[in-house]
Parts: sequence; C-alpha cells; structure tokens
Amino acid sequence: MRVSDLNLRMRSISWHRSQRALLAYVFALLAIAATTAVLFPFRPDLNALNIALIYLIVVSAFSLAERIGPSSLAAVVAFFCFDLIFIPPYYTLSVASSDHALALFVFLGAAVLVTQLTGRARAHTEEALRHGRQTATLYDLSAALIGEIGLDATLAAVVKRVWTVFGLDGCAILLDERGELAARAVEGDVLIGLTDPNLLGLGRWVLSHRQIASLGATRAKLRPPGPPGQRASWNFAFGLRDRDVLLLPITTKRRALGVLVASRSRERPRFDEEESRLMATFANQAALAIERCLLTEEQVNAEVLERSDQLKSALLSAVSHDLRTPLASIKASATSLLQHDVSWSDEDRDELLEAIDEEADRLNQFVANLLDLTRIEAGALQPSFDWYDLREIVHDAVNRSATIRGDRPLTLDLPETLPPVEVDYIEIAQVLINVLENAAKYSPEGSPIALTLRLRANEVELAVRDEGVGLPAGEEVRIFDRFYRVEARDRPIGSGIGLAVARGFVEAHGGRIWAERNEGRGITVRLTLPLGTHMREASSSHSEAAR
Amino acid sequence: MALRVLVVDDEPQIRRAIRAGLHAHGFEVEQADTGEAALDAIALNLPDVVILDLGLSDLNGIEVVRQVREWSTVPIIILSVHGDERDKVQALDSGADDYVTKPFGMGELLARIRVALRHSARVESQEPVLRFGDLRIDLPRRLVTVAEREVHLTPTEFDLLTELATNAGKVLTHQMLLSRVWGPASAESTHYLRVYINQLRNKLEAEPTRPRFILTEPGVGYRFREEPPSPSDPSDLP
Repeated sequence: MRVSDLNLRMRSISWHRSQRALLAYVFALLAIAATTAVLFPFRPDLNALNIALIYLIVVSAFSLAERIGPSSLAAVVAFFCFDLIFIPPYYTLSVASSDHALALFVFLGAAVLVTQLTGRARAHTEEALRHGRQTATLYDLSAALIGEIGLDATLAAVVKRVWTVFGLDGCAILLDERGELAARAVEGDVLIGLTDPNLLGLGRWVLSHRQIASLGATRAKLRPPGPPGQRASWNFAFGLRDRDVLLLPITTKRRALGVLVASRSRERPRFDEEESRLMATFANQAALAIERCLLTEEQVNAEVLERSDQLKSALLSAVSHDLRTPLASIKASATSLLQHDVSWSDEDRDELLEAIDEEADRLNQFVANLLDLTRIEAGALQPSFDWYDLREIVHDAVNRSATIRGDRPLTLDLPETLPPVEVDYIEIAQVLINVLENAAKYSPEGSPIALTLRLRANEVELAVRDEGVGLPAGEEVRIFDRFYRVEARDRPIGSGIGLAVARGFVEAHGGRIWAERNEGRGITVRLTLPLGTHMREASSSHSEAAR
Repeated sequence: MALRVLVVDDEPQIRRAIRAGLHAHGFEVEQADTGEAALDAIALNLPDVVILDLGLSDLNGIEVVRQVREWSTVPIIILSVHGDERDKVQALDSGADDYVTKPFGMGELLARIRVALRHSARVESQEPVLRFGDLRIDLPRRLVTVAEREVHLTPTEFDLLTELATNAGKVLTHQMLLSRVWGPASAESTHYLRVYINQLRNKLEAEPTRPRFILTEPGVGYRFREEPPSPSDPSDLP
C-alpha cells in the first residue's frame, strides 16, 4: 500500500467517522420503516411467522453492512414494528395468541443473535484490517529506513513518513545531545515552538518517563504530566497553542534517544488512541534505526581512532629513523671537529664538514616531505599553477638530487619539442626528486637510472627506471601508501613518505602515478600530467578553495 | 669602516649562526628579535643591510618591510621557509630586495648580501656595457652578442633582458618585470612574461631548458645569474 493512499484512507476514516456513525442509525430506522411499509399491504395475507422471517432477513442484512449499534437499533425497531403493526390486536404492544407471542420472541432472539454474531465478526475483520494497515505502514517505514545510512537521512525519512501517514502539520525529532534536546529533523512548517523551553521540558519528561504526552487533546491518558495546579503553567509559544501536539519517547532498551513531536491543527480531528499507538510503533522503529546509525558511527569512529593510532606509530618509526640518522651523523661530525686535542688533516676536516652539510640537507628534505604530506593529508594543497617547460623542471630536479644519486649513472631521454605544461613548479620538482631518490635508495651503487619524458595525445608521461631491489608482485600500488617500505634484506631504507608525497602532488595536478616491475631487475615509476585546459579548471577550483 | 648588518630573527640560534658567519667575513653584526626592535634599530643605527625573518612573533615581516620602505632604501633580505612562496612574493613586491630560504648556506646568504649592497651603491652609476661570461649587452647601442655573435632581439625582448641584467644576481618578481617592461597596467599578464622569457632563452641560451643566464625562481619570478658557468662547464650541468 502506498503511503499516499494510506494517508487518504486514514484521513477519511478519522474525518467522517462521527458523521457516518450518525448516518448508520438513520439508515437503520429508514430500512425498518421501508420494510414495514412494503409489508403493510400484505398484512391480511401473511402469517406472523413469515413476517418475522422477512424482518429477520432485513435486520441480518443490515447487521452485515453496519456496526453493532445501528444493527441493534434496527433489531429493536423491527421488533416493535412487528408487534405494533403485524401482531393482533394491532397498534398495541399486547399479544393475543400464544403462537404470536412465540413468533415475537423467536424473532427477538434470532435478531439479537444475528446482530451479535455479525457484530463480533465485523470487529474481528476491522481489527485484522487495522493490523494489516499498520503492518503495511511499518513495513513501508522499515523498508525506507534500510536504505538510509546516515543518521540525518534516517531521521529525515522517519519524520517525513510520520508527517505524511498521519496527515500532520508538523513533525520533528528532537535528539538527546548531552542532556539537551535539539531538533535534528523537521518536516512541515508550523513547529515554531520547537525551542520553547516548556516544550523541551515536557520532552525531557517524556524521555525520562518513557511515556507519551499530549497537549490539546482532552483524553485523560494523553494529558500533560504534573499535578493539576501546575498544568496552567504550560504556556506554549504561539505556534503550538492552536494545535494538538503529541510527544512520544524514542527509546530502546539500552538508551533514551530522543522525542518524536507531532502536531496537527485544531481544525483537524484530534489524535485518537489508535493513532497514538501506531505513532508509538513508528517511534520504536525510529529508535531502532537511530540506534543502528549511532552504533555504526561509533564503530567508524573507533576504526578511525585505531587507524590514526597505526598511523602515529608508523610516523613515529619513520621520524625516529629518518631524523635520528642524519642528526647522529651531524652530532658525531661536529663533536669530532670540536675536539681541540686532535689536529685534523684538511682532508679529514673537509670530510666531516661535508657530512654535516649533506646530512643537514637530508634532514631538510625529510622535514619538507613530512610537511608536504601533512598538507596533502589535510587537503590543504594550494598549487600555484603556471605554464612551464617540463624539461627545465626535470633538469632542476636532476641537479638537486645529484648528491643522493651518488655514482649511479643517469640517462635522460627528453623530447626535442614540448608544449608548456601548467604545473606547480615546486611540487612537480619535488615529485621528480622523490621518485629519483627512491630509485637511488633501492638500487646498488653504480646501477643505472633512466628518466624518460614522452608526449602523449593529451598528457605528458614521465618514467623513472631503476635496476634496484624491485618489488614483490602485487605491491605496485602500495608503494605509494604513506609509510610503506619495501623490506630490504637487512633493514628498511626509506621512510615511506617520498612516494606518498609524489602521489599527492601528482593527483592534485589531475595526473596519475604508478609503478611497474621491470622484466629484468628493479621497477619503473611512471607518472602522467595532463596537457592543456584541464589544469585551468583545477587551478581555478583550487584558488576558489583557497578563498 | 666595516659594513653593518642588522639580523632580525626571534630564534637566538639563527642569530648566533648568522652573526658568526658574517663576522668572519668582516661584517659588523647587530641583532634584533622583534619587528618593533628592528624598526628602532634601523632608525637609530642606520645599518647597511637588513636580514629579516618573515615569521616574527610581533609584527608580520611584510609589515616591517612596508614601514621601513616608507623612509629608507636600506637593502632588506628576507629569511623565509619552505612553502612560503606567496609571502616571499608579497615581501618582495613590498620592497624587500631578495630572499633566502631556510635552511640556507652561508655562501648563499653572503652572495645575496653582496648583490644587494652593490645594487644599492650603484643606483646612479650604470655601466654602459654589461658582460656576463660570453654574453655582452651594449646598453646605449642596444646590441647583444653571445660569444661574439650578434643576437637579434625585439625591442621588448631587449628591454626585458636589460631589466634582468641590470639587476643581475637579484630576484625579480613576475609583477616587477611586467610593470617595468610592459607598464603597470600589465602586472597580471604573466603569460606574456613566460612567452618572452622563453624567446630570450631560445636566443641566448645554448640549451634553453638548462638556462645559464635567466634562472627560474619557482613561484616567485626570475633571477639573472651574475656569474654564469661557461657553456661547457660540466660541474653545474648534469
């Protein structure tokens, strides 16, 4: 059953219920009157038992179609009509013959029996129908809630459902957030009083006592709580005063989650018990869905915490290795030079000083990469794009990585002509330095490194090929994860930061970076940078983000 | 009399290292640890050159540059850190003469100081003919030769080269070059600049992607190298 159909039915049921009940009684009178009028001309020809049977058929037929009240009325009126008009002496209640008396009482007995039986059957049917409706509505709700993942989406779905099904003016869910009730989902436009302290107070009462409360409705069960003298103090904001408001607790066994607030204009029928029961079932469904969301969120938070713990320890191990090694070397060299009782040869002294200089550079490089990684992780990159000749950047990066590369011969293969590419010079130079450094770190002294630049249809591809220790199969992607290190024979060499930074920068340029295992030894790291207008968009979106 | 340098940095270790390094080269070094103290020291002691850290605790370094430039032309060299290109450009456009990125080598800092001092000293007395390695620029005759071979430049190319070469050793931001060569209205059109720099490199450099003369200062601008390596110098070219 669709919500809108159900909604229409629910509305018409509550709207016309009283009028229809009244009409049924009128119909009862009319039906018996009509029967009497039809039978009257045949009074002389018909025997009393036959007339009783015809009345019985009419009453039975009526009780099949109507509720027990009108049916009983029909039975009683039929009894009197039968007695007054068809049983001699006519137009008196007295009965002359014992036959007639028997017919009269058989009729009464049968009529009562029939109306009772059909009435009971009807009540069962209606109950079954109502259960069916509720089940359909709840099924609908839970089906809608299964698809929702986030808490806010779930709350919105519940509120929307309740609002539609019950034909409300306004509906809201207030969630308990550290002791304060706050509206998290609102449907309809009339719940002006949602921040009303009295409403919130009542909401807290509803939540802590796990009971339904109502404003406006006069039924005793739904009356606002508190001793009678205090009741006058429930002065509500204007938006709530002229409507009926129902507050239902949203709770599970384990915890009290919040309050469902439903409001309906006074022009519409008041909330009856059936509605408040059904709405309570909705609230229970909502409670389950909300709890599920909260549990999922808690689980995600726990996972995030655990992952950040793992990250922290990986970072610590990387930092302790990559900071301590150059620091130790600097400290050792400097303290050596400070020993005044040793006379250093010029050669030795220069070597110590060079060590200090180079290790300081290494430290600087490491700290710069660490900062870059932090900016990448925080999404705080603001590349300053400009058009450059990539070959100039390649030469620059090659120069600046000369120390780390040592005596590993480097061959460059650059195209004769190359259109300018829009990049952040510093970031792309850093990418190349990191990739070259990675190649040098994982290959033995003297083994060759090759850098190739190729112009493709709409991108530039750079490749750095080494003949080093290579990669286990399946790790081609993982080497770009932060803190990933290839387990070399004796110890991990790098910090697992350089390639992660390279990937972050390349992706910020709209490019790709990946590794391939060479047929012989070592790996080739390839990266692409898009040509042309694509970067303009990235640039403007970045600068907008910066603003 | 020894040249006086004012070192402004809130880190005592940095001041100590710079003081020791400069002192050994015959400079007289004063120190300040805040922007306010720096402004006082500049007004009081009239140093010959100022080395100014951008990340001061009280005043923004850029603000210090602005205030000093209201009344003084003393050369200012900015100390900056990795990733601060926008601040560098702002400081330079506000009137700072050059920058050094921390951590820096003393050689680099000394070179910047020398260039800044020389440019502040010879504002008036411009040589008519500039020589950088095998590059010769005859300013009055608007003649450029590389290794005795004449290079034909368009008027704009020549103006751009002149602007770079007369400030040799000193960084020039995109905005400075654009407004000085093309006029203040063009300060935003960096693509002009890129095109002309490329043309100049193609005409002057043996290998335009490994420039000897016109160096790129990424994110900041360009710097004309004072002492370019000879084209066959293997030490600088990989």
